[in-house]
Amino acid sequence: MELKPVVELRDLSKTIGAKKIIDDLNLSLYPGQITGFLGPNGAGKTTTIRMMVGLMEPTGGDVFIEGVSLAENFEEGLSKVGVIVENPEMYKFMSGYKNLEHFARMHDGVTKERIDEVIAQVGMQNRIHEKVSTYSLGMRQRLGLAQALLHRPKFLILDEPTNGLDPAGIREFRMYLRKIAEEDGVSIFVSSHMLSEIELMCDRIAVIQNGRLIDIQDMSATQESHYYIEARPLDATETLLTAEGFTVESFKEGFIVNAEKEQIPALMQKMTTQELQLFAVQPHRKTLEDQFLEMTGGGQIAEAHTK
Amino acid sequence: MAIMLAVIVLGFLGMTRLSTEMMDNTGWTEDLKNELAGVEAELASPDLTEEEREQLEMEKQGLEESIVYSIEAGEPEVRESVITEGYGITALVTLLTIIAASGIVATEFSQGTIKMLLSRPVKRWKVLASKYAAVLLFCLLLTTLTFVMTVIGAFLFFPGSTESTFMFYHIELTTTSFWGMALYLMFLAFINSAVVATLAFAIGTIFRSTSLAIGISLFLYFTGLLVVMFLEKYGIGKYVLFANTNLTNYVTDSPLLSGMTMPFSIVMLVVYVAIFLGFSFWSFTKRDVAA
Ligand SMILES: Nc1ncnc2c1ncn2[C@@H]1O[C@H](COP(=O)(O)OP(=O)(O)O)[C@@H](O)[C@H]1O
Ligand SMILES: [Mg+2]
Repeated sequence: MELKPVVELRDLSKTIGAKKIIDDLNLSLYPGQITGFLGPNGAGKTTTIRMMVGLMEPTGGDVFIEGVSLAENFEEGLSKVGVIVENPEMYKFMSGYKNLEHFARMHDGVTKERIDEVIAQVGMQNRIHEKVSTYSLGMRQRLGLAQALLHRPKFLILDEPTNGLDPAGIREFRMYLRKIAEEDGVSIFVSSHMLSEIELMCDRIAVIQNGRLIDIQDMSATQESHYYIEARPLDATETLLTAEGFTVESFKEGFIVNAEKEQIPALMQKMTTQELQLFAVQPHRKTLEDQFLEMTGGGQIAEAHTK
Repeated sequence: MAIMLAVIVLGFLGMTRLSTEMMDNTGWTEDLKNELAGVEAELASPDLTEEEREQLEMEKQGLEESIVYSIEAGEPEVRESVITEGYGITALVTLLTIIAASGIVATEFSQGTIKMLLSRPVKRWKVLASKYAAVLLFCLLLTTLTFVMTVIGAFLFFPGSTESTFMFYHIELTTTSFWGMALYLMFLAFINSAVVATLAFAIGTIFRSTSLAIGISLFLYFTGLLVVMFLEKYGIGKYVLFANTNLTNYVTDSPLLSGMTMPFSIVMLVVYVAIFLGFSFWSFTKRDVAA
């Protein structure tokens, strides 16, 4: 990556009591990129984000925003950051507009025009003067996004932003993030425990488990080619596939093999000559979920789904 | 809240006026009234010298005032005395300010808005300083409102005094100094409210709970003097916060405990406020926000 990172986490650690909640996190985030921050519940996503915006003090390491250390120059560093930590909590007795005005005062140079512009961007014009207590969760998320964007941050952090959004809302949200990343070159960091959600919106995914960063994946990287093959009898199929030199893995009623497209016709021929009953051959895109399960050993994600 | 306070102050003064009037029904005042009628009749006669007229006018005025400020009512309630004693009503200001000060930081935590507030490019001590300034302003506003309403009430419900009333009742008030005195007492009462509010503010900030802060502050506020009396047995009563909060004692009354002076109390209040604010700022700037 030749671009200069907007944000760098260097050896970020947090110990509460005797428990190491975040362990030596190193991560760089780049302009115009959406980076996913994936991990099961309790992995330490929110804690990391809280440390990135000054809500929690790291016990080790530091956060740099465009080279500015938060520990040394908090105000300058944070002036480039917009954030929603968990659910956006607004002053319920005030209107959405009053909330935005209130938060705008804490940043330099946010004009009335800018407030109106952001309101239009998130599509809240019609209800903005109503009290927040009358808003649905989806509207609160929009308002949350609006307050995070007021000061045109170069770096946007969203902690589980799709909580409480319906599928259409999630889709719209995804398009919107993509737009501000591409058009304004904003670097976006989105945490989630739901793979399916962030694999669609992210360019990169950092996986965290038990406070440790265990993998960073580039989503644009070409994926290995896999095929799903279903044939009977199973043992004969497996013997043949292994003999042909493929790595074989049981999946549903058949097997997953890492084969290139060109190898498939020859393989089919061999299978028919051996009189195997062939039911299905189809390209298989290993989802991030499979990879994630592999990486985390499976056990942790179950917890995430039940929560 | 401000309107409520205004209504209560006016209502209180109105009631005071009504109750003094009810005590006015005595035969004694009837006599005065008859005497007054006689003097008025004399005044009406056309052939009086300038000197005689003046004499009668004075007599008439004296009688009128005696009727208005009936001796049986004890201390006469005149406009000026009502205004200078207005600071007594500021206990209400203290209560309202305790409630506001308790919640101003704590509700940010309980509603979760604290994280929206502190994840901004503003240092935490600045956020807390503006919260504290808001508490003091609120307190000042309510004190001023109380004063204004007291003045309005005093003019609405109570008669003004004249030189002769002062002389007759030995009221140590002169029209030139009483506004100054009234404002001074109000200022001392404001300090009282502000110091107690600082305690509530500190508890709310440290424990991050509104109800706890209101509860503890009100409890201390109401039991403070008992604690002072109790600790006085050991000679340390004067070091208790609530032995020092009521600075008006030194002006209108005698000190709460013998040997206490206004400068001593001021020093104690400064020390207490510094401690409260020290803990508040330490807690607010150093502790993690997990709400
Ligand atoms: N204030 C705290 N004190 C002790 N443990 C905490 C505290 N905050 C979070 N934790 C623990 O740290 C871990 C990470 O929590 P969190 O960052 O909220 O995870 P995530 O956002 O990934 O679900 C959890 O195991 C949680 O129990
Ligand atoms: Mg979380």
